[in-house]
Amino acid sequence: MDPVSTFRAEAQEHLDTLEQALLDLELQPDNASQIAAAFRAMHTIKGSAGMVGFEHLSYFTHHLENLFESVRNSKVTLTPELCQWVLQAADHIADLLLHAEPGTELTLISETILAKLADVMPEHATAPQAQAVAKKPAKQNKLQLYRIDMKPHARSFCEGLDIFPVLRELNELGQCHTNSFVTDAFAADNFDPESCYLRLQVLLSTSKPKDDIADVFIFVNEDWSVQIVKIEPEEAHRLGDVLVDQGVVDAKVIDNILQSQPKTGELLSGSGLVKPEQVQRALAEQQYIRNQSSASEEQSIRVPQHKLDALMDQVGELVILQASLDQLALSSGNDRLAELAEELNRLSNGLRDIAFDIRMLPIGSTFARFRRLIRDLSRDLGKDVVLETNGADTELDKVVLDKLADPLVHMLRNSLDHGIEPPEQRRLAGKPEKGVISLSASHYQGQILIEITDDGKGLDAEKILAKATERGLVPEDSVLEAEEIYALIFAAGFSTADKVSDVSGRGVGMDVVRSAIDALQGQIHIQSEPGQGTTFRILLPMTLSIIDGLMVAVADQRFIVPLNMVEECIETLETEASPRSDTCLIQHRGQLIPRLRLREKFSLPGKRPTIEQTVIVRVGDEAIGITVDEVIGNHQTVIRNLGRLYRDVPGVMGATILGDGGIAMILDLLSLSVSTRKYDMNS
Amino acid sequence: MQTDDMRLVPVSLTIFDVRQLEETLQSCLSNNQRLAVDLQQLTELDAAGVQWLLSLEMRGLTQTRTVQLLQPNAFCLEQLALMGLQQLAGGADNGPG
Repeated sequence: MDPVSTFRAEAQEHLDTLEQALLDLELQPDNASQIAAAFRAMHTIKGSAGMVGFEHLSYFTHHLENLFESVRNSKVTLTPELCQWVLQAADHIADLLLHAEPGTELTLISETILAKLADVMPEHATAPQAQAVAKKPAKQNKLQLYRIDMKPHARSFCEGLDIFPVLRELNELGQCHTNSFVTDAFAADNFDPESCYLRLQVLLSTSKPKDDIADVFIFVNEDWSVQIVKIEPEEAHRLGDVLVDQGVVDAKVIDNILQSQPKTGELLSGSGLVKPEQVQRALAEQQYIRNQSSASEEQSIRVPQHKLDALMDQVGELVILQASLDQLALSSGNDRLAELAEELNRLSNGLRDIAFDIRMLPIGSTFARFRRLIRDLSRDLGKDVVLETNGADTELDKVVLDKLADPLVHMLRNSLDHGIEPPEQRRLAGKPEKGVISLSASHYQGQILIEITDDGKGLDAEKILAKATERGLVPEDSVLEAEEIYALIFAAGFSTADKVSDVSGRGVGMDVVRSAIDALQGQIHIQSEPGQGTTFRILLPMTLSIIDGLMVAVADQRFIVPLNMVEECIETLETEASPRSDTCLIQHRGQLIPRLRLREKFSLPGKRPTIEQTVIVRVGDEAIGITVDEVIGNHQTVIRNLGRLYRDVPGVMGATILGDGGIAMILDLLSLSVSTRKYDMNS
Repeated sequence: MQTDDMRLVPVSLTIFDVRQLEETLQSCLSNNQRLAVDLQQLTELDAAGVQWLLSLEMRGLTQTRTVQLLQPNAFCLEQLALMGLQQLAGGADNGPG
């Protein structure tokens, strides 16, 4: 990766850290470790930004770093309002990361946010020593942004009026951002060097009153055209457009001029604010901190995802080749070959596990985003909701993780919008006003279990059924179990929301959630108690590329059963099941469980053996038996997607290539268990 | 630069100098000479001087390298930065010429 891409990726991680720290600090403003984390994040972005030429970003984050330095030194207390503005600043940094040389609008937004940050700082933000000097601290005026347009008279230079003294005075009032242009009077073929063609625009961020700015022009005001305009935050976002609309300046010109930002170091040392050696000391400190943190943490490198995908593909091919070699070694009867094949098998298994492990990421990286989502949305909806997370260290394949993010976002929005009641309603129901949504991840039977629970009003089964009937999703007078009714919310276009809100309620989304979970070969279940809340349980495989499988055979056809779902294998006699049906119930450990014969399911030819093998698998909380002719044994299974022709065949989720070049179908136990249960209910 | 090109090393670039500089420039242009303005020794620069430098860019003379601005010193850079015109020196060939 090039340095800028690396910088952007790292800065994004620091932004995530900052966001998490802020969300914690909103609840615990004195949390020293989070204050330090926020400071480090800003300090690192500032330093790195300067090194890769993102000077404006470096300037912007410098102010935030100073803010956290003050917080760290107890000079500033983080109020919720201040946190809110720092969060906005974090969002703005994400925008600035896209532009090494931001245009007018982004620059203005930066100044607006910095002004606002200074504005909302608590009163005791003033340094204690300053208070000590002045017995009665002067009231700190708000930092305000002004736009000053000045056009000196054409004869200004000849009359001895220079622009620099004015600019220097303005710089003494606050932070200036100046643009200079030539007026329309400038003509390349008729240029008079003693006439003034200049026009300047200064953006001044100052706590001084407007009169102080006007005083700067006291000696020139009669001859110069000067306009001083206070910029409100809302206007700042549109200023570029306004200037272009007014025909004051071409958009391209603004951008061109802004693209030539001075280097922070040069500007600071050049203006005398900071000495070059001080800059050097700061850089040395930054390097020290970086060295310290890198010494205490394990070294890591960044690798583009496509390279990891390529590695996984290669490992998959190796696993397939390994299976061929194993088969050859077995059939050849050559002990030395069998020995080598076994050794290679051990190595390729290790390689597979490492490649697999490299792609695993803690789900916490996804959780982190959701805290901000819940915080912002709950404010928008006038609700008081906290998100609790558990099991952030649980690891999932990156591909699964990426595809999981959007469904989770929608479910959380749904829980917040439809599940959690408004504070008033909660109080009347005898609940705490603050609602709780909990998001947890854990390992469950070799899979990942993600649970989203809210303590809201629960699903209204009657309302869901009525709506589903009205929309023709279920026949009238249907008698359904509660969970079946709840599952109707995943139907396309279903929504029981009385009002359509911006958050959810358009009936799009929950069906998309179901599709996304299905695509990940996962399952989703709903449990709900009226008045108590709702829990969504999502079960996902840890990876989608290579799995450990149990190979079984029916006639000469082989199948793979995902091994993590296998509980045990038992022998069953033909007489134990009805000879005419492909499913029935079998007795297993004192319980009757449904079972399914693959021979009948896939209409395979041949006669059933007298003693059959039944593989007991667990799908979610339910066990089912899969009856086959023969259990062959463990098989490392490289999952290959099925072609269009077979993609929608129920009961199979993919295929794998065997050592002898044959194909084995990988069973989709979820759809098999559903069809088994349906068959039982119907019969 | 060719040997017959002109090189100036001004100490001052103010309202008192720009007329002379412009005449020198026009003379160079008439004679198909190129002009190098070395800004290393500059100790005075006012808005009229900056405007003259800006006019070089506006007239397309720096882009064609008919005029070259060389080695701007810290004072020059600071003045240009105050007016938000630091790109005038940033694009210059800062070598010894």
